[in-house]
This record gives sequence, structure tokens and C-alpha cells, in this order.
Amino acid sequence: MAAPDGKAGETDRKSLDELGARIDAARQQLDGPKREQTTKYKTLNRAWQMVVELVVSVVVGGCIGYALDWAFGTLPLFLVIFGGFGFAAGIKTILATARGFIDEDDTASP
Amino acid sequence: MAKEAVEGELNIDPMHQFDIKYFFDIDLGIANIGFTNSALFAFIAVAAIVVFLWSAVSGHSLVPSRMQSVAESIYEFVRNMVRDTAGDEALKYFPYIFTVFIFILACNLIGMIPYSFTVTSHFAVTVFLALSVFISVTVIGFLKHGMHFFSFFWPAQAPAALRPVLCIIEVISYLARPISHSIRLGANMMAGHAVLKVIGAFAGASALLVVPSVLGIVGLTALEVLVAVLQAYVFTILTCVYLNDALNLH
Repeated sequence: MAAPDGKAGETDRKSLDELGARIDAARQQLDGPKREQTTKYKTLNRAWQMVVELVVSVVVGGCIGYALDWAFGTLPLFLVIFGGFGFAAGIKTILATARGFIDEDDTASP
Repeated sequence: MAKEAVEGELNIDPMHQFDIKYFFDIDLGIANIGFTNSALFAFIAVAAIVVFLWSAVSGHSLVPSRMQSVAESIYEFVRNMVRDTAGDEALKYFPYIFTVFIFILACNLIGMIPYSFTVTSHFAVTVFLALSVFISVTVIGFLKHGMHFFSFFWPAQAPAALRPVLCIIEVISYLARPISHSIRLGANMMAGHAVLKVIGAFAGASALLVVPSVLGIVGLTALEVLVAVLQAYVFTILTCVYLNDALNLH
């Protein structure tokens, strides 16, 4: 498809520019409806991501607490405390994720 | 009549598709490392990637062929993702991130072919991928910053009394990363395929349900292809985010 390098370089450059213009035009035409469709599933995906982050943080905190309880023989104490820490960590992660989404949307929309 | 058929014949076994089958056993006592269908499809995915990329770039012309421009777009897409999220410094880890991305993408998409097996629907695979990212990112952080890497967990701006508590919270959220990282990919793939199977079982249950469930499967399959690509993207961008944290410490 492509012309070999050398004297045909000039034609290559020209056809590349043409191709670039055509790609830009096609992209502009496609962008509208496509973007709308993907944002719908993106939102779903984001909600799911935040739920997982919160639950996982609580579970990890709980596991650390349970391990400490197992080591010191103080069963409910550290489990409860670290479960709370895990919840706080989950909220912190969710807030950071949400902030990331806001930044992403700001840069995405023109 | 149709209703009765639903009661009698509805035979849903959505998890059967995730069964691991051994083609042959190599039992080492602590573990069986025989060849499974999961391993087979992982090999197929790798072979597909190699064949695709090889044939795409073998022509290497200035104005790319279709295949070549697909390969180039994927390359450029991941490269831009790495640079935008983690900065120029992260570009030396680009080969690893590209490998992770294209492997997950290939596994997800090959899983969409009927009668195939979705490697990434198993947590054994996704946890391995997430743990390798977690460990390598942590090692990179320590190599770059030494013991100063621990300042990542120490919120210096917070009031002094709160710092130890916040430090524990930071550590927990850091440890939670590989888990949520792997669950997101594995659960998404597993859930999508299980739902497809359930809807498919409706078609077998009653003649009345055939048309709606086939339409449903068509729609869901389209959605699943989107999810397959999106989850590969999400896994990769989170890898970049974690890498950025390790390189730049907030």
C-alpha cells in the first residue's frame, strides 16, 4: 500500500496529511453518540468500583484486627477497632476515587 | 402449558462453565501442576497476541494496513495512558504494563467466544496479576525512595494527634489495593458470563421465552464485549495509578 521511501516521500507526506484530515472528520462524526453510550456503563462501573473498595477495606481491617486478637487473646477488641479503621480507609479510598472521576470528567469534556 | 414447562425443565447451572478440567496430572504432592483448560486458554491467548502483533508489524509500512493500525492504536493508547497517569518516568515500565493490558484484553475477548474458557474469570489468575503489580510497585517504590517510601503512609499535614490513626488507615487502604484490584476484574468477568448462562437457560425452559432470551443474550453479549475491554482498561489504569503513587509519593 505504501510507496517506498526516496523520491516518493513527497507523495507519502501528502497522502498522510489527507488521511489525517479524513480521520479527524470521521472521528468528529462518531464522537457524539459513542461517548454518550460509554458514559452509561462507565457510571455503572464506577459505582461498582466504589462498593468493592469500601467492602474490601473493611475486610482487610477486620483481618488485621482478628490477627492481633489471635496474637494477644483479646478477641473482640482489635477486631472492632480495626474494622472501624478499615471503614475509615474505605471512605478515604472512595473519596480519592471520586476525586479522580471528577478530574477525569473535567478533562474529558471540552 | 408453557408455564408448566418452566417449572419442570428450568435447569440452570451457570457456574459449570468455570469448572477447571485437567487434561493430564502432574502431582507434586503439594500441588497438581497438570495442564488444565485454564492453562490451555491462557496459552491460546498468548499465541493469539503473538500472531496478531507479529503479523501486524511484519509489513511495517508508513501508511499502516488495517492490522498494523489496530496494533499501533493499542500501543499508543497504552503508552499515552502510562504517560498521562504516571508521568514520563513511568515509561520505562511501559513494556510490563502493555503486557498486562494485552494479556487481560486477549483473555477477556477469547472468553467471549462460545464454548471457550475465560481465564480472567478465576480469582487465582486475577489475584496473581494484581499481586504481581502490587509487589513490583512496592519494590519500585522502595528502590526509588529507600526508607523514605514509608512517608507515603505518614500524613505529615494532619494534626499530630491524628497521625498514628491516619497512618494505620493508610496502611489498610494500601493493603486493600491488590484485593479490590483483582476482585474487580474477576468478579466482572465471572458475573457477566454467569448472567449470559442464566438467560440462555431460560430459552431452553420454554418455547415462549426463546425469542426474548435470545434477544437478551445478543444485547448482553454486546455489553460483555464492552465490559471485557473496559475491565482490561480499568485494570491497566489502576496499575498506572499505583505506579504513580510509588514513583511520586502523592
